[in-house]
Amino acid sequence: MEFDPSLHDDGAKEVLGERIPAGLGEGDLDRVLAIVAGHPATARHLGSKLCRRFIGVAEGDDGPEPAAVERVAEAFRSSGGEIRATLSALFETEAFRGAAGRKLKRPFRFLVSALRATGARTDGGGRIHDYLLSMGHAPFQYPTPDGYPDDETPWHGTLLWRWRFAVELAENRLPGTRIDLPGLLADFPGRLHRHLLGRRPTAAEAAGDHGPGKTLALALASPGFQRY
Amino acid sequence: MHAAGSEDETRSHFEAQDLMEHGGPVGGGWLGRFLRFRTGAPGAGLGAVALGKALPESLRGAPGEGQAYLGELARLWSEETGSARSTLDALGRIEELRRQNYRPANGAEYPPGGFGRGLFQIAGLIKARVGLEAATIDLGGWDSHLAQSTLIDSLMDELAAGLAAFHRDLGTATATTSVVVMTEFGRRVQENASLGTDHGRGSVMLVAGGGVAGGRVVADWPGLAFDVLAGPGDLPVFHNYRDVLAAVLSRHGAGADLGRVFPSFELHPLDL
Repeated sequence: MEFDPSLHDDGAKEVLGERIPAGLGEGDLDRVLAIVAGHPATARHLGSKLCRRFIGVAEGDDGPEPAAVERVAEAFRSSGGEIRATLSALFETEAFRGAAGRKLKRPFRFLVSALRATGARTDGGGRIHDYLLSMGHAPFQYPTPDGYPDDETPWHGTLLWRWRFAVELAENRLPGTRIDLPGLLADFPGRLHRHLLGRRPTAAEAAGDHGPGKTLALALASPGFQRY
Repeated sequence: MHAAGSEDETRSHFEAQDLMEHGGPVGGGWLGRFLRFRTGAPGAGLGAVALGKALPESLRGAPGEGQAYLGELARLWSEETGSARSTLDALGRIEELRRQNYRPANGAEYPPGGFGRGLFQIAGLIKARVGLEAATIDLGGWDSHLAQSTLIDSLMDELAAGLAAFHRDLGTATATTSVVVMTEFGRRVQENASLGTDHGRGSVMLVAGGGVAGGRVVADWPGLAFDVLAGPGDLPVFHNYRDVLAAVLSRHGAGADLGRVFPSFELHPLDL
């Protein structure tokens, strides 16, 4: 950021009901940030956003569990906006512990987690970007500044592309992206599902013998891999 | 419909568009709410389609293997409610359509480009009767602050040619297909210093098909004299967009609770 005194209005100002005296120059910005950060709505808003990200929103609800949001907001308030204290409070909530494996991965997270879990080498270009565009989650493409929705329902229509991506990745049919399937299987002998899902597979998940490529594709396309 | 628009006064793209797509200050879109609330069995599979980019292509594995993969997916997802079932359903219907190799009917010629292609695909879906209930398609590029004529003249041609081809292609299906063309706000009346116009208020909406009493212009036209303009020189809004949409939606869902589709607003549906 560059401050240009000749363009700056150095008079007194009022922001959200609080007065900033004249003559502070660049110090005005610090004051504005302090006023905004200290506003009660800010703690609630940030608390809600953080809970949406780390706890998620149960289907049918309007937002994350209010008790958790309040705990996080309170931590933000009482620590004067310290992010460590705020996150710490969030991670200690019951709701956070209960959320493991229950949040739906939005398309970007799904793609990245698939690429990382398979140790893929990728140029992250064309084809990957096409998938993100098709799923409506390409970086910086959301038309309004509130950003992509972070509850589940808007993303339910992306299943088809996820299934397709899974098989194209597993069978090395994505230009610009490559996985070493034999190497992956050698790294995790008999433990592919555990590696991908972070837990033991259910009987249904582990069932069937489809050959290594299809097994990987099905694991990436399975309900379990869509959640984190 | 002239002088149609929203009550939003910000002239901000984000807020106005958000407001209109949400049909008011409630989360979720008006179209989504309409599809959810109206009575009658919800269509399976392809109820709603949004075309910004291409229509989803069907899943293809190596020849002969695609079906086995889908079979396994169906098994894995059998416990999950909702989206997996409708995705598999939609897939089945799309496969049907690909086999039919759809071509425009009645000599309809769509303009080249994404908009024309999108309309062509929607027409195909409508005529294939796969249960499509609503479709949205974007045509952007109208924000002509600068050198307006160079920006929007060809867009207007594209819009007109696309809608005409769509109408022609649909044939008899026009009677049950309502088309609404809308935008988040209009332009200021006065030209600016860059041969363009800035954000305004009242704009225009087009409604066609679906039994509308068409071929007419609905306008309480105030003229363009400065003393009748709103604020810094914009066409005022005389018809709230919800009153236009409500009139259209009531043709498409007997018993639709329009008050829930457009909450916090006293509806006066126009007579269309």
